Amino acid sequence: MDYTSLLNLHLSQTEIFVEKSKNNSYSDLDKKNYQDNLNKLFSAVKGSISGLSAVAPVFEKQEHLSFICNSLEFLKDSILSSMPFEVVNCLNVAMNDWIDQQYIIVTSLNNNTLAFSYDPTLALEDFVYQSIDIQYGITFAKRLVQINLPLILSRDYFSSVVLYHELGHFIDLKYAISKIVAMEVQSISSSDFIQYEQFLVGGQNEIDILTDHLAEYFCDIFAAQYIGKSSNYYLQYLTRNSSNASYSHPSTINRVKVVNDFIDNIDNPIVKLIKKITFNRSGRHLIKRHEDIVSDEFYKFLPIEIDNTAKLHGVFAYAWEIWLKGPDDFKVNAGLTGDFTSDNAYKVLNNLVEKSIGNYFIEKSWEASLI
Amino acid sequence: MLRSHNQQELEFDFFISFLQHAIEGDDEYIKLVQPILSDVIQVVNQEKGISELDSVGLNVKILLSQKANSLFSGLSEDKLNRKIFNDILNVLNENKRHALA
Repeated sequence: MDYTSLLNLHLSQTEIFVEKSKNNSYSDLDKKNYQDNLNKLFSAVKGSISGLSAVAPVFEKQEHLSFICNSLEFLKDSILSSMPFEVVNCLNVAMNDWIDQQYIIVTSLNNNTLAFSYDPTLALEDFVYQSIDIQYGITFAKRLVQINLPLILSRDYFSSVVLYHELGHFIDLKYAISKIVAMEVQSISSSDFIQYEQFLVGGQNEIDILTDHLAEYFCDIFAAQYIGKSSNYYLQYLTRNSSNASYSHPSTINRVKVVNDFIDNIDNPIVKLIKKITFNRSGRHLIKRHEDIVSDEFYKFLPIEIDNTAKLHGVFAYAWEIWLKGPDDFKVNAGLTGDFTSDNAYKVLNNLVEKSIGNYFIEKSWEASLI
Repeated sequence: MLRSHNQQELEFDFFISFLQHAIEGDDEYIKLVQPILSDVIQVVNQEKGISELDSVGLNVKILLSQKANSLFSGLSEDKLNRKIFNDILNVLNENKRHALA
């Protein structure tokens, strides 16, 4: 089949997207530069498409156009007015613990309230970048790390803790951690596998299930470094603390145990193995990277004064701890006498988390501008 | 959804496309496939472990080191040529479906 006419259709569709995105306004130069590069790429692809018919070149051109559309989809939701600035900046800080600063976190806001996920395409598909470089001489100095989240919850700082887990998927794939752990688990004897059996209920043989389950454990531990046990609460609620594993995810009970054992320093074979391979692959240790905040500022309706990144990440767990104690406890600690509902507590805490984080980053940008 | 995204499949498809360019003698693409194949040679000849490989083209490297062992055994990087690229292409086309199953 001659795909040229379909490739031309793809080109026209992409052109609409490119035109619509020309007025995007970003809070940082990196995204603007990235989009300028995308515009150059589109012109180059368009100029190279006429007269194509062989199968291989069509495939690469098709992927170049998909690359442009995929990038624009995420950039569209990362403009000044729609990007969840506070949480994305926290994720940036966490990402920089693990990787050189050649990536930009972008978000796509979805209508599904459970739409927390990570899309690896633009950050990790090295061959796409190599192909673009060879065919048009265009290089991207930075790549996009694409995180999907629900539009309605984009400024909800309780559910936002799971975004650290999604960032973990990027780090995992970047260093191929779960893949290598899975291959190591496959290579051990069945008698040695017994220690992992409780956590890897799919057994040793199915590499895809093994890799997927280990990836989830890695991401849970990765997130726990920054937000402690906070995502456990949300996960337990959403899955009703399920004891069932699926093809793609371990059971919630096992995931919660792995996080708790990591945080509480309890000996756990899966945690030990993931920590070992993570260090071998990335040169970084999986360790606690947040501060347990002890403060009564939120009870005084004041944001926390944050002076370091461990405290920055710690503010999420701090808000969760107060939330879990309920509105009556908040009322007593705040010395309130009137009605104080759960909804009041939610709005106050959510707002205070946003203010605490926002103040930290504003102060940082002021400091930077004075240097 | 109309088309599900599979990063592994995309990696194989790109590498196959790169190999086709290399077989046609395009030097730029030959330079691109060489480091991937060099890693496979080292793994097959036990000079490097899979856990030491970087993640660029990792799925391709793992598949080739498992399915094209005889092709790479005793091979050195300077012996890579169009005939070998073609043999590698056949191995990838034969095994890609299995790797993605």
